[in-house]
Formats: sequence, C-alpha cells, structure tokens
Amino acid sequence: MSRNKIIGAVEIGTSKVLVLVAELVDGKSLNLIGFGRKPSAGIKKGEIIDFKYASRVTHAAIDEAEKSAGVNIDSIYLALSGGHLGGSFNKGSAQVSSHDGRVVEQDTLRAIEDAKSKRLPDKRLYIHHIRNPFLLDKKSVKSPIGMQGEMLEVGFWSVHGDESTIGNYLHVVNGFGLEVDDMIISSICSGEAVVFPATKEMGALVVDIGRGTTDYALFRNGNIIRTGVVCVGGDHLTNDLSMGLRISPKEAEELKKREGSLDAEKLVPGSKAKVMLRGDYTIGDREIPFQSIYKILQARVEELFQIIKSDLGELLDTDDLAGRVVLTGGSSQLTGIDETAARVLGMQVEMGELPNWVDESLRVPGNSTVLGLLRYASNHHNLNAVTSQNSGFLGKLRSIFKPKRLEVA
Amino acid sequence: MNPDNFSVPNKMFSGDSLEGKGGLRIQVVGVGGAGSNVVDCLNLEIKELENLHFSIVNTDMVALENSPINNKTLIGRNVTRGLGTGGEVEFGIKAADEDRETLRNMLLGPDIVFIISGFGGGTGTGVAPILAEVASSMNALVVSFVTLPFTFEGGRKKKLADQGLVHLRKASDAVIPLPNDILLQGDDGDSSVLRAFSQAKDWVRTGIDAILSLISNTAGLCNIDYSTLRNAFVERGGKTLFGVGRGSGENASSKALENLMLCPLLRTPENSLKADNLIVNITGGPNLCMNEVNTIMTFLREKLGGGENTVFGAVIDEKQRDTIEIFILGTTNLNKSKPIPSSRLSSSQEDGLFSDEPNRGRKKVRRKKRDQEDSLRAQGEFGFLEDMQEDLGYFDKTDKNLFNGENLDIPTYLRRGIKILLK
Repeated sequence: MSRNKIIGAVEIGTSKVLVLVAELVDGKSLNLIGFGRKPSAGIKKGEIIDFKYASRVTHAAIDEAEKSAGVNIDSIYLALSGGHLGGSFNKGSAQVSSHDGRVVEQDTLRAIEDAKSKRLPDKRLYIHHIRNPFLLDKKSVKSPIGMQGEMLEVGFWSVHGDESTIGNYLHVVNGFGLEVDDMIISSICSGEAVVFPATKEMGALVVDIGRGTTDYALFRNGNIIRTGVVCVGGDHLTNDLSMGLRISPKEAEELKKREGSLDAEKLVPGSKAKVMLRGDYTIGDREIPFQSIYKILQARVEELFQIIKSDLGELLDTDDLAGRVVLTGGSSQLTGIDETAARVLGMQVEMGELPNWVDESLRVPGNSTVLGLLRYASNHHNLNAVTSQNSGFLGKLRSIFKPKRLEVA
Repeated sequence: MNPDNFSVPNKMFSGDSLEGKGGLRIQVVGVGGAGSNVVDCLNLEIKELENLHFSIVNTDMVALENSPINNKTLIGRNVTRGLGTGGEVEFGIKAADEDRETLRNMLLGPDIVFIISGFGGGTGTGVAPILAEVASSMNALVVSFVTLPFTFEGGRKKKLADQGLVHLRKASDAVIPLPNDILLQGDDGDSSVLRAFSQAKDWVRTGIDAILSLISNTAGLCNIDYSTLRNAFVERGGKTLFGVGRGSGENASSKALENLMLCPLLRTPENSLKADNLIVNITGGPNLCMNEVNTIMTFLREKLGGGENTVFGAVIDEKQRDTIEIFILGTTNLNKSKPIPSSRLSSSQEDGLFSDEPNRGRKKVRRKKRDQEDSLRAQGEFGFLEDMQEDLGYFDKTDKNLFNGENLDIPTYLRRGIKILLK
C-alpha cells in the first residue's frame, strides 16, 4: 500500500449517528484520528423511516468526523441492525474423496459450497456466512485438511437481511459520495469491542441494548454461533413510561434517565416511595410512585431477556456455555438491568468494558458498536480481497442499487 | 381530584331527562355472556323506563334463564341447541344470521341502540356485528361497547376480537372498545372477572349517561337534538375516541381537562387520539358559565381535532355544585384523505420490494394482507383499518413488531395486565 488508508466506521443508530475516522498504517496498526456524532432523525427501531432526515444527519456526522480528522475518508464500514435481519443455520457435508481417507482442500470446499447453497427467498440477501468448526465424522476439528475420516461436515450461521432496507443504508452513505466497503451487523461489532478473545473461547452472550433495537451474538469456542435482533430498546422503555404514567414522551425520557431503576432494594414492600416527575418543583411537577416506574420497566426488560432466551433455546441450556453475558449499549446503563438479565437468563452477567486503546472520552456503552466496527475493519481490511463472499455480497448490492441511485438523483 | 377514580359517581338516571322527548326510544342490548352480565348490573342500577329498555341476546339457554332481564332472546336454536357456542365464532355468526328476523323482532323499533358485548368468545364476537347490522337497517343510531380480552388470554382470542371489531365498526355508528388490559389499570382492587365486569359496566354507564343527557332538554345550558347527534356520526368503520374526565373545586374545568387527558381509554391502540367528528358533553353545577365551556372546547378542539364537526352540550346538574365532568366521544372518517407524512410515501413506494418472509418466530408484518375482501372499496377500508390499528404513539407507522403473536410495541405491562398506580 503506497499511502496510509483512511477508513471510516459509521453506525446509523436509532439514537445517534456515530462516525469514527482511523488511519490504517501499512495495513496493520490503527490510529483513531477523527470523530463525529449527531443525534439521529428519521430512524426508528434501527430502520430508516425517513430517508431525507436520515441522510441529512448522517452526512453531517461524516462531515464533522472528516473535519476533526482533517482528511477525507477513503472507504466506509457500516454497522447494520434492524428487525429485518434474520439468520439460519445451514449445514453442508462432503464425502472424503481421496483413497487414503485423508481430507484434502477440495473436500472442505465442497462441504462449504453445500452449506452455502441454500437459496434465500426473493428480496433477501446474505450479509454474513459465519463458519462454525468442521466436523469430521461428527467430531469437531479446527483444521481438517490432512486428517483421516469419511464424512466431513460444516455449519454456517448465515445472516440475511431485507434487500431494500439494506439498500436504504447504502444510499444514505453513497449520497455523501462515499462507497461502503463492507457491512457488519451490530451485534458482531459490539462483541468485537467488549468481549475479550479468551471470553469468546469460554463462551459468551453479548447483548447490546440500544435505543431502537437489542442486538445479541452468542460465542462458543471462539466462534459466533448465533446472532439476533430484537426490535426493543430504550425507546420502548420511554414509550411504556409515557403511556403507563400518562406523561409526555419528553418527560418520560427524562424520568427514565433520572429515576429509572430496576433495583428492587429501592422497592421496599408496601412502600409508598414517590419520585418527582420533573424534579424541579415547577408548576405541573407531581409525585409519581417509584413502584409504578419500577413495574413498567421491569416488565419490559424481563420480557426482552425472555425473548432472547427463547430465541436461543437449547443453545443456552447446554453446559458448554461456561461463559457469561456481557451487556453493553446505551440502554444497558439502566440501574439493576444486570440483575434482571442474570435472573432471566440464569447466567453470570457483567457490564461490557471497552478496551483501553480507546480514548477515555469515547469509552461509553453507547459507542461499543462503532468501536468494534473499527476494530473489525482493521482486522479484516487485508482479508477483504480473499473472502470472496464479502465482495460477492456487496458486488451484488452495488449492481442492484447503482442504477437506482441515478434515478433518484 | 383523584385521577385513579374513573368510576362513575353514584348518580341515577333521572327519568325526567328523557321526558318531553316524545317517544325517543332507547334500547340497551347485552349480547353473549359478558354483555348480558353488564346489562344485568345496569338493570339493577337503572330502573327501566317507558322509553328505556333492557334486553339480552344469547345462544346459551341456561345463561338466559338466570338473568333477571325480562326481554330475553335465544338465537341459533338450530345451531347450538341452546347450549352456547363454546367459543366458536362461526357458530355465533351462523346463529345470528339464521335468526335475523328474531333479532329484528327483539328490537322494539328504537331510535338509539346500545349494544354491549364481550369480544373474544363465540356469541359476543359473532352476534354483535350482525345485531348492529339489523339495528342499523331499522334506522337506529347504533353505539356498541365491547370489552376486549386480556393479552394473556392468548393470541387466538385477540385475533377473533380484532376481526370482530373490524366487522362491528362497519355496522355501528360508534364502537367503544374497552380492553380488559386497561379496565383494571390504575385500580387497586382485586382483578377478578367480577371486577372487570363492574369496571366495564361503569364505563358503559358513563357513556350511555352522557349520550342521553346530551339530547335531554332539561336543565341544559346548551343541548343538541337527536338529529344533530345522528349527523355527528356521518361515517362508519373508523375508530372511536372515548373518554371522561372530572374535576372539582377551584379551577374545576382545567382539572377536569387534565383528568380527561389521563383517561386510560385515550391511550390504547384500539382507540383513536384524533377525531374527525367530536361530541363533547360538559356537566357542571349551577355556576357553570359559557366562558368555561368555551375554554374547554378550545382546548379539546386543539388537542383532539374535530374542527367544524364538533357538537357539544352543556348540562347543569344542581347536585354537582363545583364539579365539572367532561365526556368526549369522537369518530374518525375512513375516506377522508389524511395527509401522509413524507416518510410514509417513500416507504410505501418500496412496499413492493419487501418480502413477507417469516423470520424465526418473529414476523415482520408489512401492510399487505388483504385477500378476503372482494370489492375495491372494502379493500381500501380494510387496509386503512389495519393502518389505524398501528396507532401506537411513538411507534405509529413503523412495521409491526410481532413475537409469538404479541405486538412488542405495545407496552409489556399492558399486555401482562400489570396494574400501574398513578399516585
């Protein structure tokens, strides 16, 4: 590489648009040189509902980041979330072909081909094929080539999304005149940021609770074996409070941040503890039972973890998962949320910590996704050319969306 | 003022409120088990008058026999042999369809029919819409009150109730849904079925009371007549807005308005928060003045819409002293073109690109399920209704968020029937 490449990590989230600019030196080390952040508009539950607003804030955030870095971004990595994302576990297999029963590369390729061959319904696109370990005669092996056996199997956790929803995101970035190099789903990004490789090896469930969505990824033996999105986030907590206490959304948001808590100790049985709606004793300020706030939030958060639990099903039951739950995301800052998670999921829970290579001012749970995205981008930058599925996926998208963009313009 | 207290003050129907209306006949009909129960309770509180009649309709002979109401009608003898529908809506529909003539005879040629039923079961869900059709064909003003099942009663009941609602909305002038999830909200008492009945009864009574006092011409500061009331319900099929607020003491009117805005029924997905046609009834003590009425009306028009099509009545009740009660009933028009936000336009353009592919238990439901409707007009109505049912405050106009048949955008505490105290 003749010059250092400038990459941008972009998260178009429900609460904010975050852009990090980093310089990739010799394709190896990474210098964080710019940062842009704008409150979101036109995004709900992780999906673009108003293209114009979403574009405007995204462009403003990219612009801010480029200015603070003092350079132009060469290429963009984009985090992807939203309820349109789905996934399936596809298995493929191949008979070991050689006479001596040793696995050769051809066998692995055939098994992989077989696993990836499952076609998606119309208008759905594969985003990631995440390979799980090979099984040689039902036994898990890290690298099967050269080993002796009869049947080689491989499984992929394949993440797919809605074509037009993904297209909307690409349009937003393209509108700024930049290309998207790769898209990574948010849960994988957050996992990259807050889960240490050793923890991934032991097994971990990373749960990123954002404003519009909750994204999770389950690691076992270092592999991602399942990811998912629940379209429930901080906005739901606010909306529930607003409806339950019949207060305005703005009041509800402030009340949630100021008094919201799942700390049952604050809830002495039969207590009549009250908190003030606004806390400034102005006209219209009134007392609200803490119990009501607690009940509304508790019901919602419990349900959220129950949904994740039921999504993962027996994957959580097995004893292999000696690891833990790692919580992150802006809404994970709700007091006591870790205890509720531990109770519902029956696992040890810890709050995710961002690595110390990140400047202290950026080490907040809401930044996990974009920081992880940057890390992912730097790790995978040079691999891009080799991992054909990436270029294949984006290549397909580009061919679909480019002409359309001209129409729009 | 106690915002939790949405129960009706123990005020009896004063018979004189209907006098001088020259035979304006009103009939209150309870349909199915839940509906009959509510009417039984109402009957104990309100004595039957010459022009106010109570009746019940059921497919279950035993239930009918146990009711103290005089005018009882068994339908669907050939379908259920008087044994009830066992929760099968088809039986309810069949029973009512076969016995349209019986239903017509049961109605005593009333001017206003209040239909009261519980949705989610067989008889109420199946029969009430057909009864509404029959009553409408007799040129009566039809106002229906329906209780909706608790979310924890399961997706099947909810689905049946939703289907019933669509049908009933087309057949009634106004439909007031009373979700059980909400009825027991903000209530300290035990959440037994009886409690739910008594709450439902209180709401029904408030509604009937207010509508009747609107058109009664005694002690009114400002009354409207029956035909004005009829004109307010110009169109059918839309959602209804329904709420009551009370305030007393100093600034009674602003307290009543505040209380009205806290009314739990104004915050449900089944109810609307905007109205194209709005009926307001204000009841106050002798010192209620036009100035206060004006303030209230300005506020309501601004908050709820209604615009030109707002009718209001103001009633003086000597016993109320410094209390003011505001009752609102609004309906939305289906065919009026609503301004569509730009975001909506862009998303609808792309609707065709979305797939309906189920996504491991959690489905993304796009606004695209309308096969059964035959005529174009009906198709439009049905689609619109589906949209209206997404009226979820902040999450309005976003894709439905379904998990195991529950819409996650509706607050969890509501779906679980968890009671929330307001103070």
